[in-house]
Amino acid sequence: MKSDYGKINNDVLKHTIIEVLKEQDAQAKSGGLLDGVPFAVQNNICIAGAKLTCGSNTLSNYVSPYSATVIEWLKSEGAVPVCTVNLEEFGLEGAGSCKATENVTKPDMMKYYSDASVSGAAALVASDYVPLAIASDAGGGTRMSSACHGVIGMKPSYRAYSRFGLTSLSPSIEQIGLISKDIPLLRAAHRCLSSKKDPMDATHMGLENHVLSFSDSEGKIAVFAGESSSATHPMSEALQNAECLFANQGYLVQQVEFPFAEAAAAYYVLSCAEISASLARITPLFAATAPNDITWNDWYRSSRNQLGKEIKNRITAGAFFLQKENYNQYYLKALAVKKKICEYFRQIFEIHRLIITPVFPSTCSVNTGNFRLIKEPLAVNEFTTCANLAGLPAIAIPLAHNIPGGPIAIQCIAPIGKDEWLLDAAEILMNK
Amino acid sequence: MQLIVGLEIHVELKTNSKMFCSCGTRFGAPAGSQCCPICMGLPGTLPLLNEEVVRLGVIAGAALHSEIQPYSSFDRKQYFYPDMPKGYQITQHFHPLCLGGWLTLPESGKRIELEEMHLEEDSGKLVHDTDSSYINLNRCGIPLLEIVTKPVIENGDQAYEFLSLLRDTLVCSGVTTGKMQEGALRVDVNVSLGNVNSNSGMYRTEMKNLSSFRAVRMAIDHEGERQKKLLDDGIKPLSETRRWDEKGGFSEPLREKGNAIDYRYLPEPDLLPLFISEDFIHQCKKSLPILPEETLLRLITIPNMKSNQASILANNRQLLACFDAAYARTRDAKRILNWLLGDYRAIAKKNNLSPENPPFDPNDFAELMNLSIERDLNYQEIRNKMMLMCRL
Amino acid sequence: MNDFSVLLQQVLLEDIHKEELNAALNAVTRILTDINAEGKENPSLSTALRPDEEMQFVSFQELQHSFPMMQEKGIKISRILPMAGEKK
Repeated sequence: MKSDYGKINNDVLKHTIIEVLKEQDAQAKSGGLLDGVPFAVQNNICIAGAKLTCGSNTLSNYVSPYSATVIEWLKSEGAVPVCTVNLEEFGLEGAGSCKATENVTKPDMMKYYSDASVSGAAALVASDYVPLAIASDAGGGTRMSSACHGVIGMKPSYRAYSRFGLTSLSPSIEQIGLISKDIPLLRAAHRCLSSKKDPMDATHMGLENHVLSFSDSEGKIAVFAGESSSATHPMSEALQNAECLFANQGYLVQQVEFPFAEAAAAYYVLSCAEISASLARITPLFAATAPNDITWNDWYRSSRNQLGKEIKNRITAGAFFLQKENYNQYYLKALAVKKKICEYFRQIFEIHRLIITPVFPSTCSVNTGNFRLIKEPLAVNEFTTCANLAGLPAIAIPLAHNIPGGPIAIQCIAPIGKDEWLLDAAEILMNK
Repeated sequence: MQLIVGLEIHVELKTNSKMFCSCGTRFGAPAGSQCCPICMGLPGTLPLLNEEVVRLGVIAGAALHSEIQPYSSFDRKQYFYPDMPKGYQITQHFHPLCLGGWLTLPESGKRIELEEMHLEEDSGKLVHDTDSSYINLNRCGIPLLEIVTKPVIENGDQAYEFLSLLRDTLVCSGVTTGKMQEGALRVDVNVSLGNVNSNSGMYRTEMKNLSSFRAVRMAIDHEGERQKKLLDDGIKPLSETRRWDEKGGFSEPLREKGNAIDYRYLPEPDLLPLFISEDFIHQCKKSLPILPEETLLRLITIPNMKSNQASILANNRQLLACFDAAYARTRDAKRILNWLLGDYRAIAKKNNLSPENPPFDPNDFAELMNLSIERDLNYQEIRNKMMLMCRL
Repeated sequence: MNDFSVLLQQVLLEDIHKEELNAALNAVTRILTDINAEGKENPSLSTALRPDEEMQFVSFQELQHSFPMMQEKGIKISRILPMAGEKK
């Protein structure tokens, strides 16, 4: 499957995508912002008539009767969804490999899973099979996947894109993210998805159209580093590179504290609590037939048993946190931490216009060329989860490739609503 | 020792579409014909609050003298059951729509106080066949208003009176159809025996889904007897949920309330909080008609007015207008009531007219009553004139 | 879940002042609106409301396709112990 690190080399898939594109291109609207652009869809985002497995055995036969709003909006601008992409069960992050379903080949839809990330969406983009992919990002999924594969992955401000049709694990912090190598394409797709309000999503707000450009606005660039960060050597180098790139352009860069050691724990508590509720709807009713001689309880139990181990862990933990006797102790505490994080970011963004952080601390074995993402699941999420918790737009920008152990990327975080500043920053850092 | 009774009433709100989706709300539609991905809880769907639900909730709050909260929000109440496809019900646990409120019972003058009222969605229905069961999701997502009283009801009769007045009030204000046979109003009862001042920490029996006010009255009185017998024998009744058997007139245990289910409430992330402006509340209050409670309190003081007669008048605007006009002229309630509710009713039924909506003008009726006294008309004369007024 | 419990300890031991905890307790559902700069109630962030109109979102056939067990009487499931008090 992979020849280059993180890349896919599969002629059947390539051919299928071309065929689907030809077929759908004829019907696609022309003259739109995204005329004829093929895009891959992570398989927890609904497409009418297509299987929505969410990478889980419990939904292996489920066909969605409707399309997500983001799909409809992208199509209305001329883009063409060409394939669905397999993912870690329901898009879990920080879980290691918990692939539940096999790769499946079908004439018009293919699913791909890449060991080095939350889903294969980034792998497809990295291998130039599609120029654009949409995926989900609850604690960094889109950004981490993209970082692993050396492509750009962006999570917008919370409430910027519609979530209708996204099988969300943690609805209060999750968003749909965009993956691409092409910055103008990202801008076009971003504008397409954030320029109006979706009546099907009560929490969707979209973004203002006219925002002061990044280069015109006041403020310094902040870099999260120092003793409180848990970043180690290769990441510090990447951060230094980024600092230099900004400094060369005349921006003032400054180190700031990153006191979010507990961000990952708060994220874990909040997201597990929401996962336990969000997945309560996964019942045996999604199976094709009802067995005959079994009681409801037994059937229900056996079907829920098909959920993967890590999902079960999180559902159980979530149920635990929400119990009456634990509610204050865990859930409310986590909310209090979330509030603190929001306030801290607010303060930083009063003087700074952008924050740079690592995407994850490197605990990979640098020399083996096999970038195993997860040794300490929660420490990995520290940098990415704080952007989810605070609802801020964040982007993973690849800085260097061809390094043993995989591509190096850094993350930029912008103030809420200033998503396009992230793309401006990407232009600077990638010299475009 | 006295009965301490609290009621939880689930009221179906009268809307065209469901609480969180645009499915229809007609009763009795074929199974599955009023469902969509949203109320079925299919992956990726999100709830969308129906604006009429909010308006009716505020109207109900106004009609029941509640404090309508300018800020309220939604929460997930989690439990597993086949008729709840999402595995949780969207309700208002932490910040309900209305706090407090009351209704004054006309006969006793007793004020039944409310704890709170909140909005929530209904679940589907299970239908059992000989060898399979079916889930009908038509009802799933229908908007409900849950009204919780304080435990201040003292016996079955009071409960009956309260529920009747509650139903009349909510029907009159347009909040619900009130059709009991369609499940528009369902009652859960909490009963215990104790001393009002020190009843905390005692047991509490719950009886769910009683389908008529009669059943509620019987169940409360019966339960009071059952608990009293146990206590007299030195046994403390269990905190449990019991099922009321209407035909047999007895109750039996369903599950122990001691191991009460922990619903693991979670603030609903797919809905933003609900802000209601002072202006909107004011508009809703202004739009209320004169409600039965107010009318009853006025009518009950009239000599010779029976409570069931007062109830009919309080709930039928046209009849009330006729009565008021005639009473203002003649001050003879007995005469008026006999003619309006007795004879007119008989005439209406024989001649295919509506007993509740007489075809004559209230002033004409008042004139007739007045004339019947002044000229000492006999029965037949009055009746003939009435027939003329009905254009018969 | 060992790593997890270690990190949980961090949350528990974290010096969160009582006032902050109380603020979180009171604002438990307002966290959703706290994401923006204000942190105060923002009535313009009231939940969007939908008009009370009946509309069909997907057809019955499409629903049946996703839910193959949907039949005339409803979604068929196997024997279930009926809750006492339900219609038989």
